[in-house]
Amino acid sequence: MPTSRLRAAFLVVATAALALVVAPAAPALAAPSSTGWVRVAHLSPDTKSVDVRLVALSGGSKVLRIDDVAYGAVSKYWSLPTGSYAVAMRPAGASPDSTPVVQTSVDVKAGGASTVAVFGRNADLRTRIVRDALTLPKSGAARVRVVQASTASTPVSVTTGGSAIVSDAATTTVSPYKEVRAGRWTLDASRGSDRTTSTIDLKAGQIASVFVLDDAQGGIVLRRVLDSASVGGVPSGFLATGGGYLAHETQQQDDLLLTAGAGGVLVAAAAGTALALRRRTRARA
Amino acid sequence: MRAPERRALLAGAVLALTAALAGCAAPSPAAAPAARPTASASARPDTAKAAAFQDPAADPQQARSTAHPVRIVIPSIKVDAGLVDLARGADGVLAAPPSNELDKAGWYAKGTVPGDTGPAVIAGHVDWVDRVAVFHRLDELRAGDAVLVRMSDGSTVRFAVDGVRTVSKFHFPTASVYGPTPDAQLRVITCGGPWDDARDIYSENVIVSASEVG
Repeated sequence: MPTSRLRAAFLVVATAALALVVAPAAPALAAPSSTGWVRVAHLSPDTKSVDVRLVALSGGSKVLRIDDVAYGAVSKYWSLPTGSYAVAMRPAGASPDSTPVVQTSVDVKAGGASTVAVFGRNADLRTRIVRDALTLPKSGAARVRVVQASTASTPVSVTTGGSAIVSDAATTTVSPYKEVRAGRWTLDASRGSDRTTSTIDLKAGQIASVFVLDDAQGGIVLRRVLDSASVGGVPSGFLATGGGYLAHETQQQDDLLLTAGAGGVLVAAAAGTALALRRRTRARA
Repeated sequence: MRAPERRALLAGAVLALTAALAGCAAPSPAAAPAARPTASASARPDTAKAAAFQDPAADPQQARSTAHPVRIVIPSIKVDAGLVDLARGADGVLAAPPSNELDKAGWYAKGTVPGDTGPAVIAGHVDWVDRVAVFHRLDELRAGDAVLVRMSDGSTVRFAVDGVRTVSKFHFPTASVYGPTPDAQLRVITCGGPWDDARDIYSENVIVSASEVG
């Protein structure tokens, strides 16, 4: 047998033995999250329904659209690859080539959520990117914040159970989230002499926004929108969901294979020794 | 008004005029206003201005679904299993389905209903001492694989796998598994990794994350 072939055979056996030792490796982990969420809020009291388009700015040709977003409406979230997006809003039914009523851009961050909000009167539209929190509330708690979109210059206060969520908030301001006990809360809002009351049911783990809006009668009104929700009653720790059959079966197989592999290495080693001996013999001859 | 804005307005007006003159506008709703005499009278683009303040849209529906999940179907790994309700034990740990229900999975009933906003949780055994169980091939799932949840009202909630993670039970990622999500998601959980002889359990959990599709 030619030397090179024998050496090749030795290599194959050795590699196979090595592979068997390394085989029970951990499976590859999933790629890290590279998507985020965006939604749209139409908060301009004298602007009719709009069609909203999102276009990826970074090379992609991806276009998303949501039609007929009315005043006071907050869209569902879109899940999008991270990156920058142009947002344009046009009168409902208008051609996509027409001049937008308002436009802006939004950065989608991995695992983050944002609301593209349009505030103000039609003659003075302003967009603002509001970041929406996605952190787990404490056990048994929920979170709520106030988005002050009333266009009047008089500031707005919102209290619940006698405690303030916001005091004297100017138009377009967004309060931090306030952690509250899960349950039904009465919300009292005031803007000068204008007052309104609403209730909100917050389940454990929910995160919500309360929008203060102008109504057609010149007063204020509250709208409640769920931002996100976690598992109510978060379990602690891991799950025990196995009895070990597969592990022990695999272990037995590994043991068998390892034995076979080790045997292979021994055979190869023996062959190598034989070859070396033969070479030495030949050299002497 | 700044120059770029004026230019954009002009461009929009020219476009609208061109479309109207050429008569080549597509038969879309957008073409209709251009055809009306009132629209052509004004060169300003439509700003969607309403005549007066409007009443805002009603609150979106956000009540908890009354239906509950009854089956989980994962075609790519040939799972088609009934569901039992799961609960937390006194120690707060989510209990697995009972060992006489190895071919069923379990839904954490105090948690999220599949299809509602938030992460719904379904768990099942990978095996028992002497046999494989419902989720013995769960770690074979890949991004894009379909997971269907059949509901008690006859509807089906469809999810697509976003990713599969294998995590140490010592470092269970509670916040990312159970934490808030702004859309409807699903977590499917079982055991994996090497057997821990000292504690007589698997050392890792396999966690599939999926998002609702269409």
